[in-house]
Order: sequence, then structure tokens, then C-alpha cells
Amino acid sequence: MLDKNIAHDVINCALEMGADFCDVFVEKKDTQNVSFNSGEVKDIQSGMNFGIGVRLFYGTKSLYGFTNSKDREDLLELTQTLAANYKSNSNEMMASSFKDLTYNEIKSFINTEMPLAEKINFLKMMDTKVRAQGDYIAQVNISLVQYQQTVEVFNSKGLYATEVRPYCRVASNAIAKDGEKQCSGSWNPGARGGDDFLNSLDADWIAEYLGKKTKTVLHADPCPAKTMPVVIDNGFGGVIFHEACGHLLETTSVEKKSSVFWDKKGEMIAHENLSAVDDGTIDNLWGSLSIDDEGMPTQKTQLIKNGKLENFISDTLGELKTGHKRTGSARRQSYKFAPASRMRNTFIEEGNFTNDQIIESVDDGLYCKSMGGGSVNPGTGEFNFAVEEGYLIKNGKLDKAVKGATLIGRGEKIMKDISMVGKNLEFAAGMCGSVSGAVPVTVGQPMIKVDEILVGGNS
Amino acid sequence: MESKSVLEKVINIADAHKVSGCDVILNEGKSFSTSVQNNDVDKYEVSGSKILGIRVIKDQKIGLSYTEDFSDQSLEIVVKKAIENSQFSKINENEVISNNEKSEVDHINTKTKDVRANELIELNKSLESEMKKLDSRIAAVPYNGVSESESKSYYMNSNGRLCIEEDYSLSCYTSALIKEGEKNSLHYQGAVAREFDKLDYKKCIDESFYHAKEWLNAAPIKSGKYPVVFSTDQLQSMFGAFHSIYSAKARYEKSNPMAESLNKEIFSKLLTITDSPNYHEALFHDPFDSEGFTRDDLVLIENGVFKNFFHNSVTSKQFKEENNFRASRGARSSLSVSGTHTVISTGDSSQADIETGEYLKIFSMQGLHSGLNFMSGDFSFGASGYLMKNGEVQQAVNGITVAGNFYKMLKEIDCIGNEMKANSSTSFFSPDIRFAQLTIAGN
Repeated sequence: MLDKNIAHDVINCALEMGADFCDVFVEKKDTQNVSFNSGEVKDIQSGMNFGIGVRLFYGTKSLYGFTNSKDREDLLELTQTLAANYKSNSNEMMASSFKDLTYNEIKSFINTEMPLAEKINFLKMMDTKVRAQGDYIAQVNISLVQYQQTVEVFNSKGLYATEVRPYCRVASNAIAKDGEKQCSGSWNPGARGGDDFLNSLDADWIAEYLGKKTKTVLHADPCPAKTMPVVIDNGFGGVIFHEACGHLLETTSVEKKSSVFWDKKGEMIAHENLSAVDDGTIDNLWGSLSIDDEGMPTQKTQLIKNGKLENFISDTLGELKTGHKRTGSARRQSYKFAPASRMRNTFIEEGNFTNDQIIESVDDGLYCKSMGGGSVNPGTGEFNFAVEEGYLIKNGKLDKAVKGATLIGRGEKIMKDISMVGKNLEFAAGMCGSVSGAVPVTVGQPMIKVDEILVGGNS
Repeated sequence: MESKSVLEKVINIADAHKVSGCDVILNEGKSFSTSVQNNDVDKYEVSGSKILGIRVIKDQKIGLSYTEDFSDQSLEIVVKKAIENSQFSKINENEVISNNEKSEVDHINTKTKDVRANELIELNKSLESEMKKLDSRIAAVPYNGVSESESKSYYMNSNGRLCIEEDYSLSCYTSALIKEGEKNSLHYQGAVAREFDKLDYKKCIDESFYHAKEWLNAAPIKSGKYPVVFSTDQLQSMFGAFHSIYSAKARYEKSNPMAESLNKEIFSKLLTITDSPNYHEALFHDPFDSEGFTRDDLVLIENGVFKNFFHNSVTSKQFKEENNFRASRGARSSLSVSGTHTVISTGDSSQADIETGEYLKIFSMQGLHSGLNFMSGDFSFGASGYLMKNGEVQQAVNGITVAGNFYKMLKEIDCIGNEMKANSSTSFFSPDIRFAQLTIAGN
């Protein structure tokens, strides 16, 4: 996408101005979105994003700029502007040519070149199946988001790396109504890959899931507000680890010493039954990458093993500032963001308990069948997340459905309170927003039990 | 090529493809931002970007496409893609290029004087150093930055209408992370201005420090029902999360819980809300909508009665109601509706009325969006603030959740203050509102 000679000139310009390191990130993103509402096409849109980001390091100081232009003169001007306040004379030059990086490519769902009309038919079929769940379904919104991101990375160490990353996601949402009562529910599966992902989806299962979920929430009572044991089911339940711990292990938090875990490597930070990883290498997963946005092949990173903190999630700047080796985790939403250490596919590994054993261990608590999103304050470790579908647990058995619950707590405490981990690991796609924008991530876990957590509700 | 020439060129290409109409949005921006840690520049960013989006109408069908590449070939492709997409859209006889004014208008808020990068870096250093001087327990100032941005937006349609808006702003933010033994507390605050001298950076320092210091020893309060007053920033977040209740588009798509509420009394009689594009206190004015129409104030709620939905030319035809020029469209999005500045009218209550007895004042909310259901109005979020009694702080509070129903909350208003306040980005204006009761989970 960018002439290698131009990239070479830009990097040499940075080095001549005394930069210790320079990299150039080139991105082209082709997008097609189709949205469906009220049983018919609402919008169809396609587009192309293109831009280039130039980053310079002076020691641990990071200077970043971006432009839509790939003209040599524009890129040199951008580089000179960045370096203007920090320049020093240097005879340093990079090698005369770049060396292409070879790596193992992550497998993706293939692109079958499905015609647009067929994609529309797929959405129509989904819409029909969700509406067929019952008259209480008042509206259905379904959209298909597909994009292909092509990236190139050049750096002053002579690296040239490139990857084509296809993404496909279906966002389905149903609105249920019964008299004055209204609620909505959603299911948003996504994968790394082309339109063959659509063929892998079970539309009947999704329709039934949305139907049952909205019907349950529509008639649920408000959740009681108190501290209690909570069982969180698999899949998107993994958002608890993502928010309560994952963000605190990114070197963007560690380098400022704002994370409560910044100096805890090698220490027990979680219950001994808990092990967790961040793995960018799993085929087809929404958060997988063959290379990160600095051109490093991604890895499987063991974060916690039997409660002990083993590794942080790190990128080049994170390594420079903290000494924690980079893990192929440099990520960004687009060329408009400098890369930062970010999660990829982050999950709690399988444990030894059955689901029945976990539910039966609770006398008076809450079972969270499906979770909404959440957030964390990295400085204090205070997190929160929403429960979309929940049930009370009484004497080891599931009781009535409840709505409107939120779980809040502090990461360092909650990690020690996850005392039981099940065997039914599942993954779910999500978008994670942080310092370098919104990136696709996977969360995951088997069923877990948290011994004690504050549950907010309206009862 | 000049941006205006690019727009003309794209419209000419579309004309050549015999579309019945089209409009084009072009946004361009430049920004500079810096972040300081330990009295040294940690991050330094400069940017320039440009994006163009086209909406074509052909055979009564709509097609959309956008590009960030402005080569001749890409401009040709963006038009062709939009036409291609239109073939798969439904027929929509209501959606036409409705603005026939053949005129050029602009609204320019350019900077009054140049600010050098070094001035911004020095300000950024001051934010950190002045914060650190306040208390030896401040372990870090983890979020600490300054930025300058310029933007220019163009709207041009095939009938000859051209609108240009140009804006300039400066912003800063800082934070205090206070540690004492095992306890820690963090708060941050930002400010925006159009002139360097008016950027209230001291307020950012004072507010970040005050809340972080007070919340170091905060604790949950006893679970129960409490009257609640939100800070203006948090009130803006609450109203913003439910802003789509005014959307006629969501009403047409059967995704608006207030669809049947027009001219009905649905909220407290104390409540009057206006959408005000040119509000005198607002940092930016927003005189044109995304179909190139100029617009004025619009009453949304009057003494508790739902008076108006946001309409564009399409929704006004669908509902046979007057267009109030709330069209919104970005370069990458389809035609929709949205508001501008929300202004909640002042009431009759004095500050003493608002502060009577015991109540909770909320200054920070966590997870509001993930814990709310727009259709039902139910919400639940984590919060920090203060338990107050007759205007005096009784206890700093954190580790609580606040739950309720937004639509019910607006029916149960105890009183509305008589003093207008603005949020920190001066886009939302409201007096203090005391809500009768929300459910707090704490001890």
C-alpha cells in the first residue's frame, strides 16, 4: 500500500533527527454494513478508510502523528513536525532495505464471495425466525458488519510486516412488549473471517435464545440489592475477568503504577482455583491476530496460573517503560491511534467443578445467565458490569428470574473470591474501548462462582 | 484540490450517473495533543484527516458510501458503490434531497489567536506539578493532557445548497491518584474552551484533587431508598443515555418507548426541556442540520408534556408532522435525527429547598450504559458521591450501586432549582434537580 522507498525515507528522516526508533503503520479498511429493521432493509453502506501513522521514540517519549496522505512530502513533513521540539543531529541510518517478516497465519472463516442479495436473505430469515418466537416480539433489528483491514508495519530495525484481517459480525436485537412492559435483548456473535461465518451460525438457536431471554426479562421482578454469592455462566460472563483484572494487567496501567497489580508479578493475586490467559493465536476468534500492530507475531500469554500472576500484557513502549517483555499485544482501533498494550482473546481456563456442584454450593445468591458490558477504573480497580438475564438461587436451586442487576467490586478482591471454576469454557465476541480506541476482543470462561459481591438492583 | 472543488466533482460524477439527487458531507480536521508524566512529555500527537460520505437517490432508493482516499479513482468508486448499494435498498418515496435553497451559508468559529505547541506543553506540565504540590499522598497523575483541535465540515447537495461550519477548541484534563496504605482513590476532570486564557485548568486540578481526597476514606451507605441530586456532568450523562426518546426515526422503527407519548403528560409538571442549537452559553453553536436547513429552539417537554420529536425531512413526512430540522448524518452514516444542546428550564426552588434533609449527591457513575435498558427505562450503575444533610457533607460515599427507572424518575421530581448550571463541556444546561428516590445498594 505504501511504497517501501517512501517508508524508508520517512524512517531515515526520523533517525536523522535523533529519534531512537521509528515505525510506520499503514492501514486500509474496506467495510460493508447492512442493517435490517421491520422486516426490510434499512441501510446498506460501504466505505474505505485509509491512513498512515508515524511514531517516533525519543527514549521513552512517544510522538505520534497520522495523515490520509501517502505522498512522500506530506509524510516527511509530518515526521519533521513531530520531531521539531526534540531533534538532535544523528548520523544513524537504517539498513538499506526492509526484511519481510514471515509468520504463521491464524486461520479465518473463508470469504465465499456471498452475493449481497444472499446476505440480505440471511438477515431476512433471521428476522422471520425471531418474530416467530411469539406475539410479544414487537420489533427485530439485525445488522451485518463486515470489514477487511489490511495493515503494513515498517520500522527502523528493518522490519516489514503485513497482514490481511477479515472480520464478520452479526448484531441481533429483539424488543419485547406486553402492555406497558417493554424490554430488549441482544446476541452479537462475531469472528475473524469472511462470510462463511454466516453459514456457521445456528439461526434457530439465536432466535430461540432471543425469544426466551426477552420473555424472561419482560416478566422478571427487580433484583434485590445486597451483597451475596454470585454464579456467572460461561461465554460472555468472561467480561468479569476482562474488566476486573485484564485491564489492570496491561502495561498502559502498569507503567503509571496506577494498576493495583503493577508490582505483584510472581505473587498470588487470585484464588488458587483460577488460571487465566490472553491468547491472540486461536483460529477464527474475533480477537485473534497473526501479528500485532507493531508487526510482532501474537502469542498465548499465561496471565495467572493457579492464582499466581505470571505475566503482563505488553507492547514495545510498555517493555521500555516497565521491563515486561512484549507479548504481541500492541493494538489500535485504526491509524488514528498510537498502539497500546491491549487484550486479544482473554479467558479463565477450565477448572474441576460441574455446573450442578457450583449452583448447589449457593444457599442464597444470584445466577447470571447472561451478562451485559462493564467498565473498570484502572487506578482503583473498581469495576462494574451489568446482568442481562439473572435468576435468584435458593438452597442450591434456581429460583425466579430477576432484572436490572449490576455487579460492582474491586479487582484485587474479586480475583480472590472466584472460588469455583467449571468445565464448560465458551467464548464470546465484544468490543473493548481504551486508550488506543475500540478493538475487537474475545472474552470467555466456564461457569464460575464468586463467593461475595455487591449486587445492585431496584428491589 | 480544495474541499469545495472535491464536493462539486463528486456531485458532477453522481449527475453523470443519472441519479435523481445526492448530497455529500466532507469533514476535515487537524489536532495536536500532548500528555505529560513526571514533568516530561510522555505522548505527543499531531494529526490531519479528511473523510467524505455520499448519499445518492436513484429510482427512489438510497445508497451510501464513504472514502478517506481523495484520488480521482476513489471519488469515482465512492459514487459507484453508493449507486450499487442503492439497488438493494427498499423504495422510500419520502427520502429526497429536500433542501432546494441555492445558497451558500457558513458558521465560522476560528481561533482568535495562535497557540504554540510549547505553550500547551507548559500548561500540561503545570497541571501535573500543581497537582502534585497539593498533597504528598498523590502517588501519580495518571491522566494528564492538553489538546487543540480544528475542524471544518461541509454539506453540499445536488440542488446547490452549501453549508460550511468551522470550529476550534482547546481542552485539558488531569487526575489525582491518591494512595494511603492499602487505600487508593482516583478522580479526573476535564475542561474545554475556545480561547487559551479561558481554559479553566485550575478547576480541573481542584475538582480532581477534592474528590480523590474525599473518596480515599469513602464507604458505602446503608442500603435503602434515598433522594438523589446529580452533578451537572452526571445529569447530562443520564439524560444523554436516554436521548433517543425524542427520535422520530426510532419511533418509526418501533424502537422508541415514547412512541405513543406525543402531547401526553408523561413526566413531572416541573420539567420543561428545550433543544437549543444556538444557546448563548454554549461553547459551540450548531445552526444547520445535516440536510442544510437552519434551525431554532425546539421545546421537547413542557411542564411534563411530551411536545415534540426530533424530525428531519423524511420522518416529518412519515408522521405528517412539521419538520423541525434535526437531521443528522455523518460521513459514514445514514440520515437520522438528533438534538443539539439540551436546556432544562429553571424551577422555583431555592438551593435550600434542594438541600433539605438527607440526600445523596452523585459525582461519578460507573457502567451507566451497560446497566440500562432503553426500552424499559431500568438502570443500575456503580456510583461515588456524598451523603448530604441540609447542604452539608455527612459522609463520602463509594462502593454503592444506584438503581431505578429513568421514566419513573422523571415523574418523581421533588424540586428543581432556580439557578442554571452548565456541564464541563458547556453543551448541557440544567439547574439542580432533586429526584424523590432511587434504590441504593451499599451496606
